[in-house]
Amino acid sequence: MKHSISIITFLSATLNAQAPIIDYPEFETYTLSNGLKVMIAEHHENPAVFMNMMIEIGSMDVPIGKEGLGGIMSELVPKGTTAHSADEISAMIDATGGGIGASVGLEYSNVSGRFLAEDLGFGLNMMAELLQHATFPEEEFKLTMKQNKEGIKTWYSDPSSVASAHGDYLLLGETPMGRMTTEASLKSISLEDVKEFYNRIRPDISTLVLVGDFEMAAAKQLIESAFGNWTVEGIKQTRPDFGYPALNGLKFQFVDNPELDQATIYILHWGIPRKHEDRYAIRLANYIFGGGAFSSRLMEVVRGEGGKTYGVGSWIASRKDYGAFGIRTSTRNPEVYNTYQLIMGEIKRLRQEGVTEEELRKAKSFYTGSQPLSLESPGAIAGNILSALYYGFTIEDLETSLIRLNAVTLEEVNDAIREHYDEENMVLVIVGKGEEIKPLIAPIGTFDESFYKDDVHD
Amino acid sequence: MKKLLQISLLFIVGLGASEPTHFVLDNGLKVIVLEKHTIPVAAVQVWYDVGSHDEWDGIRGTAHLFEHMMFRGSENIAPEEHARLINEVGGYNNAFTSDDVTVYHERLPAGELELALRLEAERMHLLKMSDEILATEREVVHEEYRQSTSNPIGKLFLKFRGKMYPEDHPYAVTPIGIMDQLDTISVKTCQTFYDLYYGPENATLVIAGDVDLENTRTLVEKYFGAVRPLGTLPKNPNLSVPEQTEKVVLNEKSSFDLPVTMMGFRVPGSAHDDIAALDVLSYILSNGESSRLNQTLVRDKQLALGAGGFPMAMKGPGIFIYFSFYFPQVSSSKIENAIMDIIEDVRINGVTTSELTKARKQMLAGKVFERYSANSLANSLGNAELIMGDYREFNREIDRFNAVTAEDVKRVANTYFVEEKMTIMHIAPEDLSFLKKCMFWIAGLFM
Repeated sequence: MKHSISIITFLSATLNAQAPIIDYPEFETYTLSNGLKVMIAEHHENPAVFMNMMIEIGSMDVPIGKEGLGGIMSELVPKGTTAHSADEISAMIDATGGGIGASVGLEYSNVSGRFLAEDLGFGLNMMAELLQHATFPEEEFKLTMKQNKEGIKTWYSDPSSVASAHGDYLLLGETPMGRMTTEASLKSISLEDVKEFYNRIRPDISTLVLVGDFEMAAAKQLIESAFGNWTVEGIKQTRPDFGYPALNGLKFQFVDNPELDQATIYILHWGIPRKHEDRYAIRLANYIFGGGAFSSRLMEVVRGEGGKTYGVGSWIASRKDYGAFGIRTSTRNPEVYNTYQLIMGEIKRLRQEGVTEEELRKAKSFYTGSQPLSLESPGAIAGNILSALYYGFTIEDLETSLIRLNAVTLEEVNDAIREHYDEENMVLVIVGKGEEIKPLIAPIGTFDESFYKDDVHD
Repeated sequence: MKKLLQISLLFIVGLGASEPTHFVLDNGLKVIVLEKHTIPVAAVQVWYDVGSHDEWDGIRGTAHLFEHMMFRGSENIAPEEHARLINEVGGYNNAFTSDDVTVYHERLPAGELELALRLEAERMHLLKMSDEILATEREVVHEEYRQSTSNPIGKLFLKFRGKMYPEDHPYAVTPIGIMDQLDTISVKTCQTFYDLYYGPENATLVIAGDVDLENTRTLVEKYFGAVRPLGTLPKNPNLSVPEQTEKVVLNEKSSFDLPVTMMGFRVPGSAHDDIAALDVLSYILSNGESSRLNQTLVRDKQLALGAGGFPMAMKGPGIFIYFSFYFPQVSSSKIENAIMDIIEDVRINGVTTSELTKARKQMLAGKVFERYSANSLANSLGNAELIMGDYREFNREIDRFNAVTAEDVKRVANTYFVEEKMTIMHIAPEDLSFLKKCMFWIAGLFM
């Protein structure tokens, strides 16, 4: 099956007659006999290749109490295979000037590599070796665990991370998404756990996207040679249903850090899943409200008018089965209450008055215009495609996404705002110096309190 | 080596990219253009030859505060309207202030080049300032400072940076400034700063991306041609620094639960011939898992969680910094000695041919990956022009890097990385209990 992706060409014709036309790479899509999906496209701008493997297993699949397992596994994969030691692997990769990185995200994992074009074969073979033949030597496991157990002790040095950790736990609770990696969870991870998690990686839950300076036929041969013998054993694991309980009312958490002279404010509530029918309306609303940097209402009110912060923003995180909506800022201690009130006032205004036709026009114009900026790098192209595929979109959906976004009406945006923004059922976390801040935030409500170095949960 | 050179040629020519070129307007504005027609994106950057090193005592922080004011309105553009107009066409914009330069940058659809040029020209000569807006931006900068110092190591790094230069040196204060002095900066001070430094002959306009040279020239003439030159530019401050002859040791405590050590050595400015060899050494010491610092401190001796070394490139004397964050039971002297042993080995034995080959390929690959982004290209061109002294260094960089020999690396290590010329900061966790200290002391005996 062959897909021709001509997003910009298409948009140029329909949305903005002034925009120049881009030749988007043409992808060929096929599946190996072991179930590995492959998408490849030639891209000859520079002598480089980008490879990106998405594996449908993530930290959502890690058992409760073993948080951090995904990270430990991904750190250990390049620490030894049946063919090479850790030091040999790092020396070989470094010698190419390229690199391979692995990350275990919430929903899926990603192994990505970029190399000069002459090292395409090496890159594919090394990625295949790491995905199929990691050996997890015991001494490497001990060293990695020792490093992580020390490293985790410094997680609280960033107030924003502290706020996120508390906010996520209050919203998502005792799920792998709500819990964080702690010293205790790391201690519970055994070498057997790591191997078992690694063995869940298999070709029939994986998709490889390869973009770069090569010839299609030669690249296909290299892929077959590297990944064709990847065998599958056992049955595919299924992900549990987490339930996602509703928030009933407001949850307030204050985290005391006596060293800070700036307070971090973090607000979180449920949002919408990635394929929700209101996704375009909410994306536009978020841009207008707090996602559009200096063009957003929050930035205008909290920074531009009041000088209360260096930055304030809102975001939408839409996963396959759930979504969240969040706001984050930081401000000098005496302004913590006023800043909170400004933000809440803007949420209420958004719900009561909605957005204007002019604001909506500008938001649509931003997303339409910015499209080519997100496609400069082949690595970004690969990432965009894999993310879309994971959430169940087709390439045709990608092609038409801006048409759909531009078709959203003012009424639809304002209906979606009233439906999904919810200032009465949310989580508020404030991190700051208790001695100065606590009296100021008392009028907001009753806060649960903790110390910034404390674990967020048992 | 032959293969490397072939790639290098391919890289320099590039597909869809032209060689950078330049022209100069009558008012002195230098314009550098790099055409790259692979995707309809353009990057526009205005590099002003003014940074925090141009400030004088009493107005420390003005260059950066003033950068904020450049977004707050001009004769025909309302406050923050510049950013909103760029966003409206799908673009992004921002600015940064360093010790040496202040840079305003836009990344936007190529068809909107004219908008970016119109807005940049407008604020180059028609800026408007008010007490009220200055008061707001001053608060914003205070928040920026608080944010950057909320991390205990970040706070101490500012102190370390300051100690690398004599107290009265222009680089002794970082661009964020001195907060007490920031509070005294008036609109009049900002206006003086604007009148002294913000003119066409003190700026370089860099444009990269899907643009046409002749059309770009026409548009630049149209919007910048009428900007009056400043006439007389202030003299550049003296950036020379007396040689450090005594080791400086700073011992600090912090709430960060891992010990950290930073070691700094002064190195010459970016245009100096030794910089290429120092860059090569930086790759060998800390680029990748197999680099010397990581391999020795993290992998072989298992003393640290991380270690690295990098040069901070400046127009005047820069700094080469080594750092490590390590296990609490490891003493700071052990880390210091381990790093000094690595340096000593380079000073005595130099580096190997395979290390040189690896560094060259890493550098080349990094440059190739960077070439996809019009913004990165514009940034490299601006940096070459303002910091290294000539935008054509952008293309010579690989050749200079490849020309470095093992002997060159050994020589620069011997010239600059001498213990008496070092400033070192050890940061220890502050709340170690007596019992924990005893345990770590005993454990340290076995590491």
